[in-house]
Parts: sequence; C-alpha cells; structure tokens
Amino acid sequence: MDGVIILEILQQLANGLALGSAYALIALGYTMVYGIIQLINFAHGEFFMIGAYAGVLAIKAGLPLYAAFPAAITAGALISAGVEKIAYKPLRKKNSGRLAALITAIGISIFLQNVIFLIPGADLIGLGTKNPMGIEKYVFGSVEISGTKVYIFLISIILMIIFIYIVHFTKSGKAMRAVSADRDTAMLMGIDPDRIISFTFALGGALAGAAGLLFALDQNQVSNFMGLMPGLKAFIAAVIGGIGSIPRAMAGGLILGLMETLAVVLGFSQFKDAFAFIFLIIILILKPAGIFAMARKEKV
Amino acid sequence: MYQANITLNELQDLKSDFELLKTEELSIHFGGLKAVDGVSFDLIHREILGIIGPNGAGKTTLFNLFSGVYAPLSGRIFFEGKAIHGLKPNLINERGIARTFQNIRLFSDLSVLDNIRIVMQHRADYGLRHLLFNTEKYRMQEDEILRKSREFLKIFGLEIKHDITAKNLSYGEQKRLEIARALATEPKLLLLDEPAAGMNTAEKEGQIELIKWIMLNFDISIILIDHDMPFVMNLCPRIIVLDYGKIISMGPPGKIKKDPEVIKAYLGEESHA
Amino acid sequence: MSLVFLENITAIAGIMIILAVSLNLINGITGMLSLGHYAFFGIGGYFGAFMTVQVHKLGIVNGVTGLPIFLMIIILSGLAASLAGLVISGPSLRLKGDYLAIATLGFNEILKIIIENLDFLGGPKGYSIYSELGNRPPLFRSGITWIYLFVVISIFVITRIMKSVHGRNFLSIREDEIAAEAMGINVAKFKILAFLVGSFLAGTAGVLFVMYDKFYANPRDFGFIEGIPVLLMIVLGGLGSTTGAVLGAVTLTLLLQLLKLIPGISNQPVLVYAMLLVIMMILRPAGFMNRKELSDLEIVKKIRARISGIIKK
Repeated sequence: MDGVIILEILQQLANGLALGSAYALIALGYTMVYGIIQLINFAHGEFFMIGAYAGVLAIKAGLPLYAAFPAAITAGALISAGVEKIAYKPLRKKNSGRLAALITAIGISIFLQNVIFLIPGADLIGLGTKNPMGIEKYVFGSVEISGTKVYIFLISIILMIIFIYIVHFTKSGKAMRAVSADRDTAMLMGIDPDRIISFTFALGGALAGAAGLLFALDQNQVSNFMGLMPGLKAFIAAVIGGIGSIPRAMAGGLILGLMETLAVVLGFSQFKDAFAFIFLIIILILKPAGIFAMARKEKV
Repeated sequence: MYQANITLNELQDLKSDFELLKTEELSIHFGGLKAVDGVSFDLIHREILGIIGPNGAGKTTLFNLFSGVYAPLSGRIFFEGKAIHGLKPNLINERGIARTFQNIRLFSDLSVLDNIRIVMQHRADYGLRHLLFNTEKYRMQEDEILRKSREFLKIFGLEIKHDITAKNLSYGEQKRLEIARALATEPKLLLLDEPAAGMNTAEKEGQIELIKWIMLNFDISIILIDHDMPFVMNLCPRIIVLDYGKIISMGPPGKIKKDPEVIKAYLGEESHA
Repeated sequence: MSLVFLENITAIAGIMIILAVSLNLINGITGMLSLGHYAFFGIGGYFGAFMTVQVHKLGIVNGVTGLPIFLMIIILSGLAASLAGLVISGPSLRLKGDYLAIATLGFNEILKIIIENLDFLGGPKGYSIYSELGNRPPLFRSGITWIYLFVVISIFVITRIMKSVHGRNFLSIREDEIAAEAMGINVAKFKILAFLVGSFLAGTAGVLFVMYDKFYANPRDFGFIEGIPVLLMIVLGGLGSTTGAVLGAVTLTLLLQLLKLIPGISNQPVLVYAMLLVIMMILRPAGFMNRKELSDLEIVKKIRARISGIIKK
C-alpha cells in the first residue's frame, strides 16, 4: 500500500517536473528577451507553437525523433529572429516606447495563431500512433509511470545545460550578457547590439521550439492555440523567478509546474489555470521583483 | 531678470527664529549600504541651506526622505513641529514641502500651462455634480486656477510659452518651469535638487539671484543640493557637508572651506574619480 | 445590405464606443496598461442577464415597469463591474507598465475561469435568458436607443471630467507618477477612480450587449483575447484621445463587419486586425488623433470662432 502511494507521488512528481521543465524552457526565452530589450514578448508562446508544428510535421513525414528536434529548434529560432527583424526592430529604431512594443507583440501573437487557420486542416494535427514517445510506460504493480514525462524532463535538462553552456562560454553568449547588463558600454566595447538582440531572439525561439515539440509529443497533437496558455504560464514562471535572471526563470518554471500538478492532484484541475494567475498576482503584489529578489525602488 | 540684491550676511540676518524643519537621527539603509546615517539638523524659516558632498554621499536620498519617497528606517522628521516621516509624498506636499528633481520630471507631454494647472488642484473642491453640469462654482474655481496659473507663468517668464509642450522647452526653461510648478503648490519649504546642473557660469549667477529672489518673494525656506562648491558658497549662508550618509561638517561657507574633514572627503573623491 | 445588418453594425459600434472610451480613460489618459477590460464587460453582461431573469421570475415586469427596471439593471450591472474595478485597482497601486498588464490579464482569465465553473450561471455553456425563462424572451431589451443613450453618457462624462482638476490629475499620473505625487496629487485615489469609472461604463456596455438580441451571456465572449480589438481601437484612434477612441471604435467595427462579407477571409477578421495592429504600431504609433481631441483641431476652432461671430452679430 505504501509502495503504491510512493509510486503515485513519483508519477505526480514526474508530471510536475515534466510540465515545469517545459515551462522553464519557454520562460528562458521570455527572460532573456526581457533582460536585453525590456519587452514582454507576448508572441513567444507562438514560437513554441510554430516549433511544435515543424517537429510534428517532420515526424509525420517519417523523420526520426532526433531529426524532428532540430526541425522544431530551427523553426522556433527562425520565426523568433524573423519577428524581431520585421516588427520589433523598426519600433526600437523609432523609439516608440514600451506600450507600442507590447501591443505589437500581442498583434504578432494573434496573427501567428490565426495564420495557421488559412491552411485547411492545419488547426489541429494529431500524431496518432506515429508518436515515437507516447507508448512507453513503466509499470510498477498497479501504478504506471509514463515514459514521456521522464523523457520530457531529461531532454529539457539536457537542453538547459546546452543553453547554459552557450550563454556562459561562447562569444555570442558573453556578448549577450554584456548587452543585457549595460547596452551602452557593450557598444563601446565593439559589440553590435542589433546582432546580439537577433541572437537572443533566435536562442529563445530555439528553446521554445524544442519545448513545443516536447509538449506536442506529450499531448500527441498540435493546434494553433497551443502556445497561448503555456506561453502565459511560462511568462508567469519567469516573473515568479524574477524576470531577467536565467537560473531563476528555470526555478520559476519548475515551481509553477509542480504547483499546477499539485492543484490537479488535490482535485482542482478545472482551476489550474486560475491558480497560476492568482499565484502571479500575489507574487507581483508582494514581491514585484520575483520571489528570490530583494526589494528595489525606482530611482528618483 | 530676478535681482535680489542681497548679500549673504543680509540673508543670514533675515532668518526668523521659527524652526521649520527638524530631523533627528535620520537613517535609511539599502541592502547593507547606509545611504543616510544618523542625520540631525534644524532649519529655520526663511533660510537657504545648502547640502553638498561627494557622489553617493546620500544627498538625494535625504531629499527623498523629506519628500516622502522613502520612509526612514529610524529617526524622525518634524515639519512645523509635527512628525511627517513615513507620510505619503502627496500628504507631505500638502503640509508644505515641494521639490524639484535631479533629472527634471515635468509632465512632459502636456502644455506648460497644464504643468502648472495640474498642481493647482488643491484650489478646487467642486464635486462631480458641479463639473458635469458646468455650475457657477465649477466655472469660478476653474477660472481662478487658470488666472493663478498664468500669473505664475508670468512671474517665471514662461507666459508666452504657455501653449508649448513642456518637453519642447529649452533645458533652462524646463528647470524654471519645474521650480515654478513646485512653487505653485504653495510650499513653505522648497527642495531644489541640483538647480545649477548643466548651466554655464553666467547662468549660474542668474540662478543664484533667482533662488534668493524666490526666498524673499515667496517668504519660504529653501534647501538645495549641488555639486558646484562656488555656487553653493555664494548662495547659502549655512552649508551641510554629507559623506557616506553622515554629516561631517556644518556651518557658514567660510568654516566649511577650511574644514579638514571636508577637504579630505573631496580630495578622497578626486583621487579615485 | 439589409436594414437588420445595418442596425446590428450600428449597435455593435455603439457598444464598442462605450468600451473604447472607458478603456481609454484607464489606459490612454491615466496611463495604466490594463488588459483586463473584458472582465468588467463580462461581469456587467452576466450580472444584467442574471438580474433580468430574477425580475422576470418575481413577476414584477410589465409594460409600465419594464423601462425603469431595465435602467436600474443597467446601472446595477455597471456598479457590479466597478466593484471588480475596485478589486483590480488594488494591484494597480503597486504595479506598473508591463507588470500591471499581466496582472490585469490574469485577473480577466481568473474571472472567466470562475464564471465557467459557476453552475447557476450555466458553467462553460453560458447563461441563456431564454432557457432560464422557459424559452421566452425577456419583456425588455436593449436596442439602438438604449445603447446610444449610454454612448452619449460615456462620452459626456469623460469629456467633462477631462475639463476638470480630476481629469488633469489622471493625466499627471500618466505623465509622471512620482512627480505627480510629490506635487500633492493623491495618485492612489485617482488610479482607483479611473478604474471605477472605466469599469462602470464597461459594465453597462456588457449588459447592453447581452440584452441586445442574443439574451445570452457566454464566457467565451469575455476573455482577454476577445478584448484585444478594443485595445486596437484606442491605439488606432490615438491613446489618450476620447475623440480617437470613438473614431477607432467606429472604424474598426465597420472594418471587421465588412470583412465578414468578403468570402475567403470571412472567418479570419482576427488575422486582418492583428496585422493592422502591427502595421499601425510600426507606421504611426500615435494613432489618428495623436492625443488631440476634436476641440483641439484647428478647423474645429475656426468653425467655432465663426459660429460665435455669427451669433454675436
């Protein structure tokens, strides 16, 4: 009996960590972009969705999983960098202000969600039995632990390690952190901020694309609105952690994933989205700079 | 334009003995950094007090404590004998303290006139009914605000620019408008954060006369912060020197100039600047 | 184009004007970026629908009492929405810019989820006045007259407020909150006031919308995504200008309704407005009116001067 409870807890833990690590992947993109141009990139959830489509279509075309991931990552990176070039960059050059940028981001988000509708039958694509992940289950007596959840968690961790490597040990990663810390000084040091901003968007989009494919494999389908909620949740995760910080965004993602799973376990599954928002509002009011941050006031 | 024609000594004699502002052991910390540390001093009615000190000495933080942007961690502030520490900025302004900002903070997308009109809000007490139905009371109070605002603009030589968006004024005009706006709230104490910043020598002299003139004509006290030693020395009969949040010297310019503590603080800054 | 179609467009435009003008008070004039306006719209709609059913069940509605009862319901629905406005104005005192945007968006979604889980309001299916009344329509309904009565009230109230100290206080918060507070303006009070007035008007729009012809409150009509067109309207018109909000509401309503007539994109008006939004932000972020009002335009000033000249003669 105790064994069953422990396994049940393990299963829920796996669910929470899988969900949380996917949120963390998306949250990284939000937090990086915010760190570098102080924009809440509402369209980020759509990069996640586009990545998922690319990956799922690759699988449907008969490609193996290890080829589907690069497809999702490339699609996410391209759409993210592309949107930056077409929409955000002109706004930045004209110094249009944060409101204009935020509204543009919302516009892009809605546009991308709906542009998929133009392709007949594309609004919902199921993977069916072609899902290379969906079938495996580890059975322990009467309890099953889904292999997908474990894979999602492991793959997310691997991606985050690669990501941390890029941010800390490559030239572009270092330049990105420099621009984030102080754009003017970075420019004086010969860093081209435009190139670095593109790089940041591409990197964030790549992570979102990969997370999208993971999500699609878990759900066994893709749909044009699939980016909306995970996108908002990941943003919440980034805020919970304290937006602008990479390790905190990851922690925020995991916390949110675990909390949401807990809400489901306790029997409030229909309120799980509301929980995330309530949590967000409480955090914003009590600790506007994130749960790990110290209070800071605007400079007068 | 504004000639006060008054020397430092005469200014010194003008002070009444009425104590306007008093601080006791005022302190505030930011994450371990003691920005203001045990500051106590008094300010008399009709006094111009200068606060100087190296960068990061806590001058602006002190202003933020007086104007309610921060509440002190410990210590007390009394204004006209009543405690004001921890009050919200708008309530402190109602008690009679107004300020300007180091980086000018105008209502920059609004007209010059509206910048003044906004802060005259305390002159109106009509309610929703009056404004909706354009009553006599509403019209009288609005007319009065408009008249008073124009009067203020005239005093500060900005009347012809009343229709211009504030952000399109020259730097000097913006500084003047900010002072005019602060005075339009009818303060008894005016806090000026770097009133001479970004000015050349001639403009600084003009600014000295303007500030003296304001003190005399509005019959108020002024505390000002500036980096420019000669500017402060020529304007303020009494000066406080802050370093690392503490008062290291206080007194007339002659005393401050010779104080070895002050020289040390400034030389210290020069050497690592 | 049939008469019914024209009437519908006119009605929708009116409701959109109320929503845009009231959102503009919060976002454009007071400068608080709220993405939760449809929460107020929805509360007004649901409250109005529920009250309508209750008064019918009480049997107090007849030919004579219908009009005053409906007016009461509209006002009460506005008040119910402004109660929510009071709740959301709490966070607005601590949060700024993007953070407030997310908190208000979250508030909108929380409310939608709660309504979807309230059985007595029909849950996710929505609340139908018809079926609650045993498949009979209610004895009163909103229409062009009711809607435009409130359009006029909304525009009048906000225009008058903007000609007063209160209106200028709202503007000062948008311009520089810290300076406003230092100059004696009770920033907290006026932020709350902006939300109270804005949410009240959005609440009246909600009940007018539900009681127009569908007699049906659907949670899917009141999500934050559904509210994005209103944001577009005020941006298109020029944030901060009431005249702009009206222009934006009318233009966009016409555009969206006309797009529905074009085969091919008829299901995709959202796509078109999303594109428009982006293009507008890139090309002219100041909108049609660039913060000016009708009375600020040179031509209007000239016409006014001429008219007053004629009158004096």
